[in-house]
Amino acid sequence: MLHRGDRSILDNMVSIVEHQGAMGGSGAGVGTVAQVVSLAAVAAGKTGVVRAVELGADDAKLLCAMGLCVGAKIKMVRRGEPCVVAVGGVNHQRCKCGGRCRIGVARALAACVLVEPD
Amino acid sequence: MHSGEDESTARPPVCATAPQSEDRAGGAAPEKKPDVRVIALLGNPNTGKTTLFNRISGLRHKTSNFPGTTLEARVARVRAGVEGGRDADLIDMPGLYSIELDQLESRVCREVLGGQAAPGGGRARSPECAVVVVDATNLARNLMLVGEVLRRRLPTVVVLNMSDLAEKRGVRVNSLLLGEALGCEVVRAVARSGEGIDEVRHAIRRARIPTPNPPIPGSSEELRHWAEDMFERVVPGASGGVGGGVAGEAGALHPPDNLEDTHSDWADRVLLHPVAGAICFALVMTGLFYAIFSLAQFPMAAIEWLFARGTTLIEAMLPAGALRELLAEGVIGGVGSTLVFLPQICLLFFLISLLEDSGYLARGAFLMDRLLRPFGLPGQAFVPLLSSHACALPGIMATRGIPDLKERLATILVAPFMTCSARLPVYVLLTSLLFVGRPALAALAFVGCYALGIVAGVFSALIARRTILRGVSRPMAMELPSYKWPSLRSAFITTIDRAWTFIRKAGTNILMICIALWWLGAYPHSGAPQLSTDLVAAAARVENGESSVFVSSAENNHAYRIVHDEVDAPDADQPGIAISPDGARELAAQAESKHHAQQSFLGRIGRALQPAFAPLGFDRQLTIGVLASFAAREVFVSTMSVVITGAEDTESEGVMDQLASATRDDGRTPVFTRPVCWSLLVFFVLAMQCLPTLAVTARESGHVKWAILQLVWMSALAYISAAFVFHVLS
Repeated sequence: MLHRGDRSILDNMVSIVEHQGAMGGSGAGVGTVAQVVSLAAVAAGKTGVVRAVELGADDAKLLCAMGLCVGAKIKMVRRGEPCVVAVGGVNHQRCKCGGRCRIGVARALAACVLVEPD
Repeated sequence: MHSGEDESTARPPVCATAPQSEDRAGGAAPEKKPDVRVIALLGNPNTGKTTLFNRISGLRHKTSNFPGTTLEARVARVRAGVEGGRDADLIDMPGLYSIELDQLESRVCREVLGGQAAPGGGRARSPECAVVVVDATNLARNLMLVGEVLRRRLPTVVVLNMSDLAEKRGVRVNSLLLGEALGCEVVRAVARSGEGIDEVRHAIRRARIPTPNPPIPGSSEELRHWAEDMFERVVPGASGGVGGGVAGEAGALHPPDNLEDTHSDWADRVLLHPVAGAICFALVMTGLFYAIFSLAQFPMAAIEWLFARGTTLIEAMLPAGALRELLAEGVIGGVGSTLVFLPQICLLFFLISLLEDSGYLARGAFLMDRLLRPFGLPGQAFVPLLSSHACALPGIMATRGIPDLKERLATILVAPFMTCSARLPVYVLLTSLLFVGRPALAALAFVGCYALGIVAGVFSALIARRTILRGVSRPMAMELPSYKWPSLRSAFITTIDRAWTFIRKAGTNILMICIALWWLGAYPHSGAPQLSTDLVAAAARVENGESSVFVSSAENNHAYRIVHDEVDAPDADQPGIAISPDGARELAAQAESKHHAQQSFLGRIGRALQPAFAPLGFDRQLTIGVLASFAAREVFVSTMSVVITGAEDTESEGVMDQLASATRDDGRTPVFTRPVCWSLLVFFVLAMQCLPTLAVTARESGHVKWAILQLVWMSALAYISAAFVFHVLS
């Protein structure tokens, strides 16, 4: 699995992560080797699916309660510090979670959210 | 910290007896009757929960804190249901995303739901009903919180708020189906317009322990899936095969793809842009600041005028004596000095409420986060710190918008460093003494004072966050809600609520402080000094026919010659300054108030404490001025002019010259030398010289120790800096 590294290193790192099927979500990642990047490295306007949240339980729970959890579809609305992320659903690629959900995330947190870009 | 997972297991139904803990706060008497029910109102932030609470409660609610915390709880006594419904305490819980987090809000919420805590020292009891407000435009995510509440097996009602907005966006929620699946009643409502409020009341009365189907899973990720399954089940078209965002008849049934750009996203392109967004934010904040800095002056002047009239009225009605002085000057003056803060507080909270409701305040916090984060402060600290430039009181009250406790305490601690409007008259006095006839330099010194305050504030915050308020700075993760028109009604209710809370909680303390300081300055009454009796007697003699009377004073080495007409006074070579009898009486009155100011308790304390202020270059008269300014900083100016000249108004002719040429008790050394002026200026920028602020700090931080820390910290910094400046310059 991932090594927990320095956040600034993790920031722009591209790593290879092996995904178990249980990690949720459909798409190319199941059971195969997928390329993930940190959320902070996703370009503006690009979409992806969250594959791992490498944060402490409480931060991870909070992000999950805001919609940013493993399997959720995301779109980077604005890059920067902090960045703005549009969060979709976990059940479908088309992710209709029933509304508009935009969250502002500090780089320190975004760097620990690993995303598989579409 | 203990996370309270054990409480998340199923609870048996609780009836309205058997309180589990007695008055924790201990302060308030247990006024609640045993048959009063408790209803907990909770929901995600930005769901319109507060608007719903305001709708249900109107103005009939109390604001207090959850025991042992600074977390605010609003409680309204409501009649649940129309016919024969029992009274109930509706508790407005803080907005949160999850009740299972290890955060203060979540913990308090768990305790209230578990019947272990009640706000304001009331008796804790298990709520008979939990009302969860969900935002229909963001249903899937909101359902996660619903799931967490349903797990607790309390009678539950789900309020589907903003259903009109959701339908406009193509999300038509089948509330009956949702109710069946959740196993509890689901009420569609529009809190902004008041639609469905009665149905909410009915539903609360009928609330039953929920039986959700499918059952609610344990982990938060499974809960997310459960919430989205539920969403697809109850929103027609949500799981259909048609692509999102299709226009037309069929498309109206299908919710738009969440990731597509919305109007709010277009607005955010501008409003969150590093340059354009910063300019917009600066404009909005300028407007906010203008309102509390300038617009508030009119009602403040009206309040001051009204209480001045009150003083005159009482003086006319009552016979002279201690009672009249106490009522006219102490009480009326004190109430006036307390209420004069209200216009700024009301305006600030009205505007903040509008900004928050519109969704813009979250953007402001977002933009400012980057700027303030290096100092250990969150983006939400910006508005409180900016407001503190008008007055620290509303600024400190506005820190309630900061979610993290330690960050909030740090902001409260440093807010009074910001140059408030009460410091301005002091800056004007000192800079005009320093730079006579050079307004450009005076203006520069002014800017320097503002900058010094800000720098001292943010670095103090940094030090506090690295030492006593050390803690993981919770990196920002905040929701950016869609923009919408704010509700004026809700803003009004919030404003009145804030104003009333201020009067009840801080106002009484501030009133006490004002009366105490007035008493110290007014008593004991000392007899008229020799000079003024001599002058009055001489004036009478001249009016009775004597051509001129000579009066000399040992006190200030002046000699006066009272004559009928000072212009064509004969023998101009005679000693003494020629004045008319009227002038002599005026002079006598000034000498008397000057003498009185020096002989009062405050004057005596000033004399006793002067050695402590000597390293700063302050003489006895300045020390009295500095002590008097604890009531409000601007009092320094009028106190100095009374102590030095006896005249109360610095606007009147010659008073500035007299201040500039005033000497110490030895009669030779000037009071306001250059080093003393600079030292005073630095002292006034940094010192904690406002007892009302300390009262509000104690109230808002939940403990008097923070007020003491603030006083010690700021005063020590001011003392050392002023002594340093004085030493270097002299």
